Amino acid sequence: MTTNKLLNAIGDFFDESKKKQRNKRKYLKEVLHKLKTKCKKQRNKLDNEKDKGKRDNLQKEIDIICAQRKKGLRKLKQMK
Amino acid sequence: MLKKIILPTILTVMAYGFWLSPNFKEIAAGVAIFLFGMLFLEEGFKAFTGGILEKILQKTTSSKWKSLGFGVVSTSLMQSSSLVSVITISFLSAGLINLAAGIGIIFGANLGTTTGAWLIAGLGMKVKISAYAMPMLVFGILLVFQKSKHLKGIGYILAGLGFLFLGIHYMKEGFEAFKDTIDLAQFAVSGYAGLFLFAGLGIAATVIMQSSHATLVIIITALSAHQITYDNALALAIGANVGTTITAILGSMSSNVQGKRLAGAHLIFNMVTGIIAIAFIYQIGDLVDIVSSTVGIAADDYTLKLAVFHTIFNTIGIVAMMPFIQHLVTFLNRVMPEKVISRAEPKYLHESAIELADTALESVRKETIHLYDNAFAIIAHGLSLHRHDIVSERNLKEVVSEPGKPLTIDMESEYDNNVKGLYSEIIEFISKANSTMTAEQSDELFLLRAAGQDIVEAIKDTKHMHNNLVLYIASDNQFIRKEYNKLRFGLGWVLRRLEEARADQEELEDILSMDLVKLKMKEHELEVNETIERLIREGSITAQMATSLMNDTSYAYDVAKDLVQMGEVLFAKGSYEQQAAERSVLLDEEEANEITQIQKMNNKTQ
Repeated sequence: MTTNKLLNAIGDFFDESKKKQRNKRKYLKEVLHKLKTKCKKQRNKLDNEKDKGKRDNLQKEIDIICAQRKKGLRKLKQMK
Repeated sequence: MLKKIILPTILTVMAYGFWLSPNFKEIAAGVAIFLFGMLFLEEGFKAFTGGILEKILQKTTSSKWKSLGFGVVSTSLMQSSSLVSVITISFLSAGLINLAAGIGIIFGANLGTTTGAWLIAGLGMKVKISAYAMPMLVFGILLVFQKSKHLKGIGYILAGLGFLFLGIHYMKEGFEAFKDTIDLAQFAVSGYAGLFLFAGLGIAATVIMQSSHATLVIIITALSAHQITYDNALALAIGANVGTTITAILGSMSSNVQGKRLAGAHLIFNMVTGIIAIAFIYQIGDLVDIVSSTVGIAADDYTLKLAVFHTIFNTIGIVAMMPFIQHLVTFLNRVMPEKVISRAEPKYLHESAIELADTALESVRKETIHLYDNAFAIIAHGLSLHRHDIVSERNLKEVVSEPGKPLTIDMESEYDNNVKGLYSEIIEFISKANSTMTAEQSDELFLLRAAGQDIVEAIKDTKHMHNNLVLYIASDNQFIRKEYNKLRFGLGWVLRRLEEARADQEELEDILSMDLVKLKMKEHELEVNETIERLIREGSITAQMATSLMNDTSYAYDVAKDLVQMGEVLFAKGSYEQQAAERSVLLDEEEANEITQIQKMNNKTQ
């Protein structure tokens, strides 16, 4: 365990709110990462899709993922 | 009647005893302080049960040997097999572990608890532990007054240990002084008669104090003061082991049949172990001598030899019983069959879960899912759809357009019989459990309560549209029939998506895609409103039909919204923090509307 990690662990033990805040950031980052991956996947699907109806559905999904990501990034900034 | 007499009798006898002998008073005070220490210790460990214990439990109960190991380690750390067995019962009642895993833990707890005898005999009798007790008490109490939950927990544990040591000290002093006035050793009974008599005494003492640790400490202190013989001490230890099951039995009273089965397993294990120990007491005694001389324990160090005996006979019990765990499970399932619970009765809400916040939360989550299962059938039938069609892979458009008689269902009585009572039980449990929770856990509980409310609202809104739906899907007017089938398709699709989200093991994906469901429902509502105008203009439907359709479209949108909101809470996966992070990026109504507007504009420009 590095000194930094050890200090963080000790700090967390005595100050639960700090730990909670760090965990919140960590999990939000995880969600953002998953959304990014999902967005890329759906964009690839959209590029290869010819059917109009399916393309519309995929576009809708991408728009939602983008909006969710934007919202998440905004929240992450506020946490700093 | 007996209950009413027991306590006053015990109190009177003790008061008389105190008056007769100040040494007896000192010993009894030692036991009281020791038990008080146990209470503190339990309180301290409860501070750490919020999540940590549950996480370890999930990872360590996948096999019977792992469960056994968990029982040994947790009981050695907590120094209370009673606490471990009560926690295990509540986990089992809440459906967090299965019976075989629970039995494994209980077996392990029996071995883990023997470390207590080692501590008392090895440390308590050799070192002047009252010297350690004082600073522990001071530091412990100082920490108890701190705000941090963890520091408070450590404070309780330290103070608990301090009280334990202080209790042992008083008992030791009491027995030392007692020795000068009365020699209890003269009441020693030899042979099997003595074995049964002292085993019975051990059971009685443990049942009264509800702690085998307390009985053991009395046995060891009395033994070290030569107030009882070694043979009688062994019998007392066997009795204490059987008597300790009383806590598990009491703990299981408020739990479901699973908890009762576990308490049954605990009793069977300890009885069998006790019988084996009594039957082979002399052989085990020889084994103790061999082990003691191997590890370097003096032949006349009876207190440590008692600890060796305690460990050996519990190990023998485990070795004898482990191969029969599955048979034990089958036997207990047969002797204590699952009560046939009606759909409306709660399955997971038990008093035993209230004390442990995370277990209580899990119980509420599972019960609310049970509520949803009941509601699913009512909503599906209210839409004239069959559950099996919704959860199948059949094309929903084909399902809703199939000709046939609409399903008639008395939604009011279905709601009263299968939802209302269960929902009330959940609300009552939530209000009781809330008092023991942290702010974050209370937030989670609030979300679960809101999910229950969403389910109830969804049923009520379905009920509002049910009569019109039954009327119009059988109508001769193909236009109104088509529009109502669209509503059925929309809600059927939402129910299907929810089932997919529920079954999906991949974290996050499907809860986040609930926003897509919301968006589609909003689009659908807008689309229907436009269609209604066109249909009235063209004279395809009457004004009365149009009004009904408008109202019911709005109800359908509300049902979908309620169900999605519920799904976001009930079917989210991962830890509470992960779920909260997920929920924080979900779009609210305004944000979803914005996307709809943008897409509309894009469609127009294309």
